Amino acid sequence: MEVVMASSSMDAGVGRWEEDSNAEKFRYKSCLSPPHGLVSVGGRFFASSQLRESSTSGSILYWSWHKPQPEVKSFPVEPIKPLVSNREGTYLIGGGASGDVFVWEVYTGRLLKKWRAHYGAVSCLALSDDESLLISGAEDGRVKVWSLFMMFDDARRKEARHGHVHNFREHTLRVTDVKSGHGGSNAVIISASEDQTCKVWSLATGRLLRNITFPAVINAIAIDVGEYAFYAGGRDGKIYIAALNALTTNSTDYGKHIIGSLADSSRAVTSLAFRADGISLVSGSEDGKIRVWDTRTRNIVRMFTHGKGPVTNVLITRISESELKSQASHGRKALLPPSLDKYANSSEEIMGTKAFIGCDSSSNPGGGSYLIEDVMNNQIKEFQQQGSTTAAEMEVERLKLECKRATQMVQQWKNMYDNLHQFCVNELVDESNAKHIKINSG
Amino acid sequence: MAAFDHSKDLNDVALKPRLLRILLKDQLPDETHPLRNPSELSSIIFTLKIHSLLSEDIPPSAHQKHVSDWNSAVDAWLQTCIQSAEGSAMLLKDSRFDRLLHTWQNVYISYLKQPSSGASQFVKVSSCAAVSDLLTRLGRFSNLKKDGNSYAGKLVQPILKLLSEDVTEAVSDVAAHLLLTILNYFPPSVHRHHDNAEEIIVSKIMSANCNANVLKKLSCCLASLPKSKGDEDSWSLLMQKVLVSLSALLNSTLEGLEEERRRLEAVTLLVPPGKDPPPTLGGKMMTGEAFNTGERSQKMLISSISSLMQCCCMMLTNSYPVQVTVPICPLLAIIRRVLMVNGSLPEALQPFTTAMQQEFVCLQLPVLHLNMLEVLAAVIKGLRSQLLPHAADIIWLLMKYLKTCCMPELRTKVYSIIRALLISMGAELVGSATADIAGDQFPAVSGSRPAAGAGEATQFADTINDVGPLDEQSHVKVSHPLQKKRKHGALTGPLVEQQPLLCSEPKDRQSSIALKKAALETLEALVVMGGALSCDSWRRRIDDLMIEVVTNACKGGWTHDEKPFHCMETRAVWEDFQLVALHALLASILSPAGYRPPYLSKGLEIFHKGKQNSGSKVAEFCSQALVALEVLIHPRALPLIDVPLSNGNSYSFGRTDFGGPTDKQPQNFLYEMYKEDNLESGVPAHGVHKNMQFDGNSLDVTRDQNHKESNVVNVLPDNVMPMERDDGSKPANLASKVKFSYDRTMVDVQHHKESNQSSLASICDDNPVVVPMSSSHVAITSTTEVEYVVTAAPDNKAKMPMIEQDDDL
Repeated sequence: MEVVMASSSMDAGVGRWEEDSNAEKFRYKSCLSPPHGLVSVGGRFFASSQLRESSTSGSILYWSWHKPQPEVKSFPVEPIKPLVSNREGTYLIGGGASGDVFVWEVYTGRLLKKWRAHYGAVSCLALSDDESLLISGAEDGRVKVWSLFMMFDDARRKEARHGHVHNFREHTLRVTDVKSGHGGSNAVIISASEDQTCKVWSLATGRLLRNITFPAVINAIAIDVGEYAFYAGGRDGKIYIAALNALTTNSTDYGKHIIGSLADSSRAVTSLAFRADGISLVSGSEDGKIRVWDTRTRNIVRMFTHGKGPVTNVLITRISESELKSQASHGRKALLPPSLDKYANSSEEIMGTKAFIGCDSSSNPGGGSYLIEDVMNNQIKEFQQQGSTTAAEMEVERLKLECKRATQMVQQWKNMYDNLHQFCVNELVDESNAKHIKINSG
Repeated sequence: MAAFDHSKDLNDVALKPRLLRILLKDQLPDETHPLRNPSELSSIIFTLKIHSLLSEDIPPSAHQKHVSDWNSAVDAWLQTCIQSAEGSAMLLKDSRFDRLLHTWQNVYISYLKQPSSGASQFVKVSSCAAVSDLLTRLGRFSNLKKDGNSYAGKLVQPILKLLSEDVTEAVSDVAAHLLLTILNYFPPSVHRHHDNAEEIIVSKIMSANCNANVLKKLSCCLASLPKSKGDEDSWSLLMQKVLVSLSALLNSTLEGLEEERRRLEAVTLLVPPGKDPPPTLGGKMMTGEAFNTGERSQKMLISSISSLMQCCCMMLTNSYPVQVTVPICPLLAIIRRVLMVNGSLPEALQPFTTAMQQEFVCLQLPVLHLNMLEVLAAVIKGLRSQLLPHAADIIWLLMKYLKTCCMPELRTKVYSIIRALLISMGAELVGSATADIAGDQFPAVSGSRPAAGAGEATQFADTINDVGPLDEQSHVKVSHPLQKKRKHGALTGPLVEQQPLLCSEPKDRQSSIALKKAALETLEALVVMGGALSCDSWRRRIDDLMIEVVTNACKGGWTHDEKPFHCMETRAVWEDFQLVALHALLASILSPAGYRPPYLSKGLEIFHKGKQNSGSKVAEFCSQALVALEVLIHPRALPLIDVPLSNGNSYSFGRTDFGGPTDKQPQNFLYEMYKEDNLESGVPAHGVHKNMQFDGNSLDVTRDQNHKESNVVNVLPDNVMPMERDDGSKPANLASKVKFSYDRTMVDVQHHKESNQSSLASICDDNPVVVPMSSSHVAITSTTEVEYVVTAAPDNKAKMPMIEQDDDL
């Protein structure tokens, strides 16, 4: 079931809406998430980074789907703002306020890697389509691309001049969002920045493909699944549609490459996400509303109200019905992984990796095939060849049976013979007797 | 029943019980009517199956009378079967199942419990098999779990007894299968017998006196044993136990030929210093004599090692109900330990090792390596994305191994592992992983990424080439006289060369074909995943190689053609190889590169040719490939927003419905939306994605190679068809090339360094470069020196697409 979740940076919790109604289905408590700080971990649970302005420390909280209170709290060394997880939900990657990037293994909570990525705080993170590359944007205006594989290959990393694959410097102000398109290492990535531009880059070559200047600062980006266009949510409350493959004309009022806009409110759009159908665009706004747009007609299809505070994140995720209902059943499956480590601990390396082995339960286990037919066929074959001992056994059995029948038959014949003999003897005796009597009488 | 109570037709329900009764009365053997001919049995089974007489698959419309009739007929059948003890639970499936189960269970258990001399082996085997099938079927009913558990519980003891007795292979085979079924479907029932079962299975494995099939089933059973407890600890404990005994066995096998350092490393990782080693595998019984390897023959040792490795594989890949901790480091250490033994003596050990020892080890080494590679593949499969921190190690190991290993079977396996890694770890692996190997093997090549890629490519390419000439030499010798003989025939050279090869040395040929296939597939994965990261040098080589391989593979004609293949097997193998080659060719054409696919036209020709072999797999694939290439040639945008066009058409064939206020209700609207959606999903591109086993990733095309201009050419549904000129004759001189990206119309005009802004501007100003799409025509165009002939449609609906430039890039 697809659900829409939204969180706010004011303490209003996380709201959950489901397909069929406009009413809020569930409210998870005590969540103060900064932008890009709400993530579903493999659909099993969701995590959010927490940032309180008053304190210098932050935390990462886990909620299971059916409980309002956060169940696992982790306290990293520094406040984490953006979070991202891979589809399978094995890694959780966070960007720190100091510019460091942290990679945790979700099942064990181990901090696998931490590296200095930026000079300013990391503001957004994204994984490439094949999840081999990490794209980070920071407050210093840089967008960098990292190879996760290389980050774990110490020998190679030392050889290389720098850890990153690409370093995009063209943004002059804080980067607000990055998104990656379809196509693995060959995708485009789009970055938005406070310098009022969005830039389209080639992930493969690291080159700038297109630069689009908007009338307002862009807070969030969502890419159309056909990469026909991308949607950019601006601080002026408009969602601009900017061309990727589309026909562009210079005639629009907004500027080059901008095809049009969706607008409903004057408050800033803070987050955008597409639903699985690829048509409904969900936007979160500072006025506390979540709007679902139909991108074909550019109309609002539905509107949810989250609260008074600004919505900072919208998250669209697919969760199984059973996860939601497991509240009623035993809390067996709802076990959340342990909290995240603060520091990397090398001695635990030996412990190994936690994993669900073959978690796709659809796979049929080994003994699932029916055997009897093969066995019967084999036996019949063996029987026909009459070669093996068992076949001989059967043969003996059969012969015995035949022997028995034969003896029975013999017995029967014998009886018959006896009877006949008796009869004949009797006849003869009778006859002779009769003769005697005749003679005697005659 | 009335004599004229005719059935409607063959499918009439009423007919089935009658047929069943006929069978029962006339054909089934019994006391008075013994079995004349064994083939009668098969015919009975066949009849049962084809009429599905026992399935009780009652159509809902069936008359109650017929249903009860059938039921009673089936009951009668079962009764007879039980009497005659020839189990045929084969086709039974129903809700009445649980009612029947009890009867059956008792019958079979009684057979199983009989002393081994009492029952015929046939009866034993078939009752085991039948019970196994019963349980399998029972496992599907979730509401009968409890009953199933209790029934299965009663069975475990007799099965273990059967296994521990010295019985024939057929019996132990089905017994192992039955145990496996119980472990899979009703694991809790084995809980009580856990230790006993482990002991018996391990002793059986260690004694290694059954055939490979039984051993495999037994190691499966061992691997599934933890399921009976179903917790994390028992899995981890068993894994550790298996690894420890594996390591002990390896100690005695590889003694004298491995470096002490490596052995110690693996052992230390297995049982960290300061921790107690786990209890021995198989319990107390095994402690003393089993690992006392003095009198154990080398062969038994290897067989036990293989079984334990198989057990490892099963544990890693079979599903387990809870999360477990995989001891990845010890596993990798033990894999490394085995793979790094190459039969040579380390210098330090030279005085202590005899030649005989070396011979022993070398004799068995390939088997060990193969099994270890299986374990490695299982690790990759089991851990999936969690392997990331260790991926570099694995690649390093494999690359090092590839350098020393030259047996085709082993190399094939290594290639398939590399391929799996490439696909699961993503493109970056391609770039970074090969640096090591490049550093070692190609010292001349500097360590930069593309060069590293080249290293790998060269290596793979060399493998393929290696195999090629080798074959050539071998078969030239063989084929020479044949060639002379056949000179009068119309056969061409290569064709003749292949025949003797395919016929005379099928084994050899097959293995080398397998190797070629694996290498090709790996290359394909490389191109698919890392095409965008490549630089021209090695991509070009791969492209060349692919077309060469395909041309060679297809030169001898398709399998469809009249070709004297002697055995079907080699023919199938050959067809497989052709298929793989075609896959690889398609990948090399589709995968993005910095240039227009050099063999596009050749490729098209080959696919067209292949398509003609209707009915074969090759033809099937070729038609898919043509669709994929069609998309490459006609890249199309997928607009969601319908853009108004002057002729009122929109590309998505949809309504031009944009922006305006609608008074539709959301629900209606959603309906419309989904309707549209369905319509759009008819675009063939999606189908191609699914069918062709390519990652969608690969199909993208690089844009923007090495020049600044990034242009957008719009693709419109028009009637204009431009003419392309002079493109083929001097491709190298083209001042610019237009590349089409997959699924998009962002078409870049790539210029050579010398072509400057102005030349481009002139194109834009003077020559209307029209790249229209009447959805089947496209122009691939644009050079600075070529004129454009534009044929505009008479109705003037033609649309000039725009090439615009980004000034600010």
